[in-house]
Amino acid sequence: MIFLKRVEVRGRAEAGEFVGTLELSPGLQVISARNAYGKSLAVKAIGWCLALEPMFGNADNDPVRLPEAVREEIDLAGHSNNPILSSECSITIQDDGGRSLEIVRAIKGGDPSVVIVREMDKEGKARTSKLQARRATMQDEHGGFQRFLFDWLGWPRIRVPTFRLVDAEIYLENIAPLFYIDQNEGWTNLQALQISRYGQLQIAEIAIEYLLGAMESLDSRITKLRAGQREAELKESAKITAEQINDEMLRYGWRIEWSSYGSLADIANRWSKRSLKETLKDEAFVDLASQRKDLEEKIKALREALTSRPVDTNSSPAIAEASQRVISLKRKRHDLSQDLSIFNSQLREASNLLETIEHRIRTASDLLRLKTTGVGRLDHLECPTCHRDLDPALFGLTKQSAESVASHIEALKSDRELIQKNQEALAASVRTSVGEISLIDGELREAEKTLSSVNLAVGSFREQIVAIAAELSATERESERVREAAKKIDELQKSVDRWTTDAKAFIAATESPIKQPKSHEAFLTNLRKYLVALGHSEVNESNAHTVVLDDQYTPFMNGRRLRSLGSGSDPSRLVAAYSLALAAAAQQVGGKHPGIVILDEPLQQNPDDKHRDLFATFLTKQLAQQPGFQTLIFTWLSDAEIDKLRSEKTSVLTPPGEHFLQLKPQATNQPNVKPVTVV
Amino acid sequence: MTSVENPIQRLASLLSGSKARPLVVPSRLAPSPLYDLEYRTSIIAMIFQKFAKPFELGLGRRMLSSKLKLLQFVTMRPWILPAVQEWSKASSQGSLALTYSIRVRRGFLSDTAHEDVINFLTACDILVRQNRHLVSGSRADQLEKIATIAIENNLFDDEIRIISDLENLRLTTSMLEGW
Repeated sequence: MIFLKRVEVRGRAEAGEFVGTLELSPGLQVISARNAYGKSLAVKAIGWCLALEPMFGNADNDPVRLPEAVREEIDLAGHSNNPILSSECSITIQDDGGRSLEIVRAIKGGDPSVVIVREMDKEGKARTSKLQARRATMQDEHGGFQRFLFDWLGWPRIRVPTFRLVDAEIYLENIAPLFYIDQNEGWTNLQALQISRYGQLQIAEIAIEYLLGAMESLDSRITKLRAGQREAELKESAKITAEQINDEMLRYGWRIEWSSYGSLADIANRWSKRSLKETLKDEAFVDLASQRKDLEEKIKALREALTSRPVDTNSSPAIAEASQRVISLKRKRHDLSQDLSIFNSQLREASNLLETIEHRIRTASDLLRLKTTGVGRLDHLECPTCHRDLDPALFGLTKQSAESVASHIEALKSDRELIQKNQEALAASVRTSVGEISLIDGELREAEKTLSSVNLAVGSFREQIVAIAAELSATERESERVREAAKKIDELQKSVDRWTTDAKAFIAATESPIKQPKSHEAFLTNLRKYLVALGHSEVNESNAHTVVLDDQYTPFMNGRRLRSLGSGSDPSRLVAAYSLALAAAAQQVGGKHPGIVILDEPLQQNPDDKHRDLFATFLTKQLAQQPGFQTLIFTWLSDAEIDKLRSEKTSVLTPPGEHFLQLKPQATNQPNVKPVTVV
Repeated sequence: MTSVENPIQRLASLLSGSKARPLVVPSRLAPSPLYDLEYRTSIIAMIFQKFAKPFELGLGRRMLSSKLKLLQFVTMRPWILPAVQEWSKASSQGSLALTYSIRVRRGFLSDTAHEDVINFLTACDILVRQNRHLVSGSRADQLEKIATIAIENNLFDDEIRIISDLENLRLTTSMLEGW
């Protein structure tokens, strides 16, 4: 763990150089100064040095959150509205091993996109680097500030899934809301300043597990999140496979129902229960194996008839047979064309009807909005002569209720669903008809060719031979088509099998629940202790055991969110207890918490005497004073409160002067910026 | 317009002597917005705002009542717009005009719900009947307010689009008043 050793803000105004410094120690530190002293500037300087501006909704490298006194004008002793010429701030942190790090960032007159870090090892050897504060801060191995800081702190880089389906890192601004409680927004909720716009899924829970060092649990959570994305991919892939199979079958003129409806488990069970060939046999009455056998036998018989068997010249004339076949195929094609025309016309009608219903749904939805919001409604109307209310019913008119319009929308949606199903069925019929026509066209071409060949042959013997040869050729082609279809079905079956295997493996892998980290218990125990010590009005020694944390680390008490319990002053106590408990738990279980908790103006949340007293009492307790991590409380205390705390050995700093920033006694022409050697 | 209860009562009396077991689905009983006063008023307001012309030195605005009736009929049923456009194009071609007009005229002339709404609006002095015209009344600002608010709040976008298309439609006297 680390502690914050020094915070400094310095710069140069027209009146001369100015500086403000806070020297800090490990453990509990209460920094007490009156309002408008500049305490918040010190707190904000910490955030600026750590490049946490996105946490507050500010653009990268924009120091707008810092007070005007370091950006525009400053009132220095005897000199008001002094324009700022340059300014910067720095923090120094030190770890348990004695290594220290000074982080410097310009506010005005320098480049705020750059952070200068000066590392000092325990032997006192220094190394200075110039790093990018925000740009590729985690991705840039050599120039990214957060990449450097995470390495220096020994924190692992972890990539988490986002709703944009691209992974993102855990950034410092994702974990800082748990230990940097800002005066303005930090007290409004647990992790009130957590960033959601990066899109990381479950980032609030992940940030807690990261600080607790609960890496196993974190991995398990991330795996589960990825599983959600994988599930969506598998569903989409099932849909595409099913559409491909149905389309392919329809191309051959076979209609089957190979659906991708239901959950992954449902689809996997259905698809593994019956093969494509079996489905084809059951639903379209197509047995490819038996068709192939029959065709092969027929080919064999026809070859024999051509080569070894005697030709029966007395059998029915080949020309008549060939001609009859052409006629019957043409008739069949005509019937199919008629069906196709009807299906197409019905499909157009269904599309028009669907469009009409969509329009009616939109109209009814707008009317419902009008009814529920009152936007665009008729005002109170009265007869201009007798000034009595005019009842629309007198004119045979009705004003429908919002409920009635909502019911009508439901009815229209139900109609839309029916028509969509009808449209899908008609589209399938169109595809089947097109497939069948294509088949018939092939057969017709063969039959016409046969007829033409038979017509050219002279004599009954030759006619018979030509007819048998043509039939053999057609049968061979049909056999080839069936063989191709069987091959295609085998390929599709392989896709189905691959999908089923993947889905089953995925289902098995996701059945295990998220592992609860061991540190969870430590966090909960500490949270209970801090809630009691801080005087949460609903939690006391006897009922603290009923406080629990759910999977999202949300505190509950007797089935209700703790945030909704207690008085109006309790939520800020919950925020303080939560942040302190997390640091304490991380310290106990060897987590990744930096070991610093900054609470800016906790007393401004509950400024009355009773609550001030409760908080001051907390600060005197051993729990608050435990040296395991550094707690920095920026507030204003009365002299009596300071005496009371000091008598209980609580460290209270009272910085000198009227303001944090003060004119340096010996002004020089150069700003008080230490020379740095950039490596 | 009749209330929804009456048809149910009528159906109940018809079924009372039979062995039929009626199943009532409430959502199926809910009437279409076409029979709602506020929907129709919004459409009339938007059409009046778009098509009514200033008259009497700009003190009032007016439009042909038959034009309003046809335009509101088409606006609420955008799927008949192509037929009306064909009718408009064919209106100069005698017998051809008759073919298209039969498909539309019967519908819009028998739109009694529209007449009921106009009666209501004239009773409120929002509109005033003046021969073949409807003229803005002393409370016409209400109509204007409804149209403006509907457009500002993206209410009835489909209808607004149709009204915009109708601007390019040439309406002849024979289309509005017969032959």
